[in-house]
Amino acid sequence: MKRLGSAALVSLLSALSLIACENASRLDSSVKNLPKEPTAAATNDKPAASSFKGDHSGSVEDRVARLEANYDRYAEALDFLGKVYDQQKAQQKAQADRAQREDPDPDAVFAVDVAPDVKLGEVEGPNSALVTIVEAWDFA
Amino acid sequence: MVVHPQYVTDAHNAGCAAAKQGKFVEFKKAFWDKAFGPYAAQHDPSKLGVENIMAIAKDVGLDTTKLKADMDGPDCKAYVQADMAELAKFHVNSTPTFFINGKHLNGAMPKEGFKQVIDQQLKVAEASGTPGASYYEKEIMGKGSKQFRSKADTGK
Repeated sequence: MKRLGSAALVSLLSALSLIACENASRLDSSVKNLPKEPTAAATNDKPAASSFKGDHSGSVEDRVARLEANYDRYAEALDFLGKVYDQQKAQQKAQADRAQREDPDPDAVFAVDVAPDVKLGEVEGPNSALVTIVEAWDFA
Repeated sequence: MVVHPQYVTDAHNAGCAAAKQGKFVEFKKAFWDKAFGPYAAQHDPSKLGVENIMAIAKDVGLDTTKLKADMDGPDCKAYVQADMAELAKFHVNSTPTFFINGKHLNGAMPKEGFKQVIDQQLKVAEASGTPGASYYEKEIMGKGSKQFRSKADTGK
């Protein structure tokens, strides 16, 4: 009975390994079913700059191991890009905040005192004008 | 406003001195043509200097002896400094900057942009019923902000 039990267990493991093989082939088929990129001849365009193709060979374990190795290889670069991205976002926010602090309120009416200029005569136009333009300018 | 003090402090003092003789506008226009124009074309700062200022002043009929005395006197220096201090209150740190009936406009813009703002302000002024001679004093100085106010201050 024990032997029978062991045999049954072995059969079960065999069946599982067959399913594993099935999984591997399913992955292959999913890759195969991806839409194909149009060829240069079909589009009359120049061929794609990169002809790089991933290595799709081997078992699932091999392929996952390769993916993990690739991930490890690019992790530092991705981390760096992430930091640059965060830095740029922070700079954009700081610029926006600074603009908020430095840009004048568009609805404000600023009471620039022109009395000394009028008194001295650094003014053009009649004093009965309804619109007064203050010019901040420099001779250079 | 003196943004380039190393070049144009004398010119601004001269503008004040010309105003004391009632000829500010004439001097200003002549200075742009005969001093700033050549300076910009030749990158020659001497065109903005006292020698050329005196020549221009003579051309527009100013008393150059009085002009020089006023340029160097305390009144015009104080006036130029006071003007800059007033503009600094409103965070004006570049030229050109304009305030059209108190509305801030920074930098150069097409004439149409100015016309639009001027027309808009004219309508507001006309609707107020306040005479032109007292409009700026009453409506702008009386009701306007006496210092800089940013977008952030108003939460916009």
